[in-house]
Amino acid sequence: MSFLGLGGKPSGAAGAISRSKIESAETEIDTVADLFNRLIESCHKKCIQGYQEGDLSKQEGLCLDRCVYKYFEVNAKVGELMQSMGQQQFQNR
Amino acid sequence: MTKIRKEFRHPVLQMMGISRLRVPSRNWLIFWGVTGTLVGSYYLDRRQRQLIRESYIKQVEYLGKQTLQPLGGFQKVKVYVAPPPNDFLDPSLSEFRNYIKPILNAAAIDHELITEERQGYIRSTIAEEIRQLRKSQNENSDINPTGESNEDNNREYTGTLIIGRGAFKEYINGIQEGWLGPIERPAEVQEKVDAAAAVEKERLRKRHEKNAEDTEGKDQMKYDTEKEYEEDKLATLHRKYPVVPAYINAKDLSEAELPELFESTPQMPIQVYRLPHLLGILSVPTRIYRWLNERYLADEIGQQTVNVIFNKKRPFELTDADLAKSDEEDWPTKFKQNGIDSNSEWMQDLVVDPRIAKHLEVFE
Repeated sequence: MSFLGLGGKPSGAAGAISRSKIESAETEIDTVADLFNRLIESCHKKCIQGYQEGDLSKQEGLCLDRCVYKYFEVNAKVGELMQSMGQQQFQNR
Repeated sequence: MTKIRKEFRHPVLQMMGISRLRVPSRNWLIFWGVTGTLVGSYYLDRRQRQLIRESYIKQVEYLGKQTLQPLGGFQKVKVYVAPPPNDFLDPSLSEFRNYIKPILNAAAIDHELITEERQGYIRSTIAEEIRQLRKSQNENSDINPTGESNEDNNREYTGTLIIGRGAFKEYINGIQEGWLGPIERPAEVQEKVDAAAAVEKERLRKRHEKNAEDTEGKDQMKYDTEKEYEEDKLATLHRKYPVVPAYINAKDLSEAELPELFESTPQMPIQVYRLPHLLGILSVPTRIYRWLNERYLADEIGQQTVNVIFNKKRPFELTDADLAKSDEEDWPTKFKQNGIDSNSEWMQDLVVDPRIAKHLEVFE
């Protein structure tokens, strides 16, 4: 893929990008965007106390820090669990 | 027994469906008296506790309300939490959550919780950290004598909070073991670790055989009882992060040589919290008393936490080895006896080496 015309062509022919690849890339973008939207929504709800001040206070900053960290941590854990469950189902079949 | 009790009748009340008003009987008076006292003192206590907590939060709140600087980090404290004897982590954690965390949060101080169910883990991790530091120092000194690498090891942390007497003992012992013990693992410790691993392996092998016998069952991981499952969980943990026995005996500490590096390494000031936690049916009255007087604990812990935030500290004195000693009175006698029999580190007297104590600091 090229980046603003730089970076040259990949080794394969440019026209050979398969449809399934594009589809999987699209779903990936969707999941990531969804993850971020949810993350922002819940952490905003939890941490931002209001807009009386223009800037973030230290309390809010710390809260956001921990919230984002926790969100990704939980996300990874759930992902792991789902994967192992999927595998088990696959084996049982 | 028919005493004539005073009663009050009035046509207006009667019209509202209340035929008479009178003092309730003796038994009812006792019932309402006892219930009312208990409920009342419970609400009083929780209300006072809340107010005390809020007053400490107000003291430190201005720190948290400051504007966050774009590149500014947060102060951070490490919190070591060990479960009280014969119980799970929950009481220790709820003490942290109820009394300490709200104040830290208000002051925007980050914390890192280090919790462990198994005895000796806190000691062995701390000792291992120090040994790693010493090792890297030894390697560095060959190439680069200034050795600045140990500087940033503790930079972002401003203190260490320790909840409970047991965790305190492990912490101090871990520091002593790390600095005064050998860097490389002694042979007898390795033997113990290997022996523990062998026992574990044997157990697992048996489990596998047993599983293989009843493969007809659909679940591969089958547990007969809940307890077995719990044990297996602990065993898994153990395989991942084994608790390594101490590299040095407590009685050899005073003869061991203190590396020079110790002087130049910054030591975190520590704060030790009491963890009053009673078990057992016979102690129910004391437990009720404590349950109705939690505000005093909240006050004590709140003050200690505020001192951490304002960095009020003093040098460690040898008498500080008795910090939070009152916890030991709460420990179950059976646990204590077992501890003495098996030479557990929780039951040994805490002896702090004067050379190490000289360099430590505690919060007020």
